[in-house]
Amino acid sequence: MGSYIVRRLLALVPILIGVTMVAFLVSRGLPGDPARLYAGMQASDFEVQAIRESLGLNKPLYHQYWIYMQGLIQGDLGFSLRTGFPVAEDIRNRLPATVEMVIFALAFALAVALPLGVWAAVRRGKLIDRFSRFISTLGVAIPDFWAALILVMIFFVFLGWAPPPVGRLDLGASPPDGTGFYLIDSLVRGEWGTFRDALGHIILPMISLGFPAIAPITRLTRNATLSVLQSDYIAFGRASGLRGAPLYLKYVLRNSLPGAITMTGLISGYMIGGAVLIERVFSWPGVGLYAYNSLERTDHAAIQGVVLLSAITYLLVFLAVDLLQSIVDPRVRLK
Amino acid sequence: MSALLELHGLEVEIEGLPILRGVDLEVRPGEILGVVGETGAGKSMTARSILDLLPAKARLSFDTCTFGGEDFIPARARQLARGHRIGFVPQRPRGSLNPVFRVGKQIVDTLRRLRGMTRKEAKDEALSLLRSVRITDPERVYRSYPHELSGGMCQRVCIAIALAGEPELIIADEPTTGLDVTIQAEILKLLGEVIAEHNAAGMLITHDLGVVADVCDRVAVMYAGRVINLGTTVEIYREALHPYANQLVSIASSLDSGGTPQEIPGRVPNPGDDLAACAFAPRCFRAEDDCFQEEPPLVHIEGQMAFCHHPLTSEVVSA
Repeated sequence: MGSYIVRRLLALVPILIGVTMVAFLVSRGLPGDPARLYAGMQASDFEVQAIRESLGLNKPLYHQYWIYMQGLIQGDLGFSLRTGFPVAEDIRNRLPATVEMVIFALAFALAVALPLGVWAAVRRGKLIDRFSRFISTLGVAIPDFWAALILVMIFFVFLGWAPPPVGRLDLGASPPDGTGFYLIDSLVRGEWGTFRDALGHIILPMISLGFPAIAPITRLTRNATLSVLQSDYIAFGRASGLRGAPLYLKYVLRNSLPGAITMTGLISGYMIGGAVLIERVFSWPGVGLYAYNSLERTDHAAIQGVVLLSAITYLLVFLAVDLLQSIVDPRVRLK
Repeated sequence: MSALLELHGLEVEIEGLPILRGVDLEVRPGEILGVVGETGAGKSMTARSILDLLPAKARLSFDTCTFGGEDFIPARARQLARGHRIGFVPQRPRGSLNPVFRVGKQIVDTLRRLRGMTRKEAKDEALSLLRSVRITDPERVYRSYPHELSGGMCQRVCIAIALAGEPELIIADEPTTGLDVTIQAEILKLLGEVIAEHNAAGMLITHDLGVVADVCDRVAVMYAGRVINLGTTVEIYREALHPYANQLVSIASSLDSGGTPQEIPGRVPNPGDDLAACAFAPRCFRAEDDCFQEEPPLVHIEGQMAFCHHPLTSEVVSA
């Protein structure tokens, strides 16, 4: 397995080089002049030109790309014109917020979708099956950012149960020291107030981002479960006295997992993209909001950094999916 | 001797189509009953009825059904017997073991479920079960996944699982389907031996009469959802009362001797077809008008019983 992972990681290199090229070209193709935005509206053309030259934006594209790649090899993602910090540092500061949200959203989606999918398959055509189809349709039909707005309206504006949709903690609250994963940090340090605060803030983003993922995972789990239920090994298990909760939760779900894992991988990739809008709605200080703001300001280095990060995440998720697959199903061979 | 399993008037309908039309049979303690018939005769359905493993759409009813003296009509009683009192050996052994768990774990899980053993006890017992189905390297098989084993080896494992609950009856549903011919004989011999060693009775479902001759004490011949002839293996082979059973035997023996078998004309009726009073009458060389008009009577001759107007015997004693 070790050598398999090394080979897979090496194979990522050419893909990532391709990604940097595309990200580089696309960010240059965006409307807006970074030098002008950086200089400010009052700046004279002469000043803007001076800034352009100091940023190297007057050089031919291939030369700019070459400079970028030289930095990249040393782990330097360039400077953000908007924040004034190195992009790598900006991303490192914001990544835990996004990862925490995506993990919660995934966990939420799986916690709903896996049992619902199995249950809908077991009670095929019955009320619960139709209910799962309804939820699935809803998840596909409702865009996540819109769901987020509706949730904020209901639970913050009308009911007042949720905290205001601004950030990861109440205004003025100081984040716990540590990794930047507030829930883990506060738990480890025993700061219960902060933990509750962070938990309260993550619930609505979690539901908004996780809800659209319920639909595909439920459908896939349901279909996988249907074929598992008709399998010879479940028939033999039943004939050998297996029934009730152990049958469904331990055996049927376990055999239905491989399909759900692949789908979850796809979805977590999608969530990294979906996080941009959700973070915007909840002013969630993560990579998504960073990407959104960088796009608005045509902040080349930041945009490229975020694109590269999502590409790496996506590819690593797929590697993880393949590894998990081989663990969950011993018939899968890693080649 | 009172029967271990006794059932009368078993009827099964699926979506309004009659699949079983009044099956009567009994399995006696210590014996192996062969259930033979062509595809669609209702052999597997009979077995699945006993374990309440019919498809969801099936409707079933009995006149009587007892197991070890206990009323077996309530579905709950039959469900609770699965694994515990009745072991089951499946068709297609390779597909019948769960592909994602090691063989050892599957046996251990079964033992813990059926006999409430601890992990340690279950492991020892699992290995001894593997030895009892004549597996020479039980440790290796214990650690293997089903896809790493041959079909015959998988069937031995399934038999071990069927034995795990120390059942009184083992039902084997076409246990040699899909196995190599040489392995088939081994598996059948093994089944016969372990059933005897565990003081259980057996019910062996097959479409192969040759199989029956080797291991079964008695034979039930099914046709179109009924048992039409039941008797000891010797009697059925020597002189089956029912013309259908009689012809099946002669086909089997001419195949054995390398000859060209005399085919039975016509085809097996499908569920829902209009049946004559005797379902076999349209294909029967002895059929007369009464076979089409009147329900065939139950005739007992020596140890045999058959539903037939014109049984194949010189000394007919009508019941």
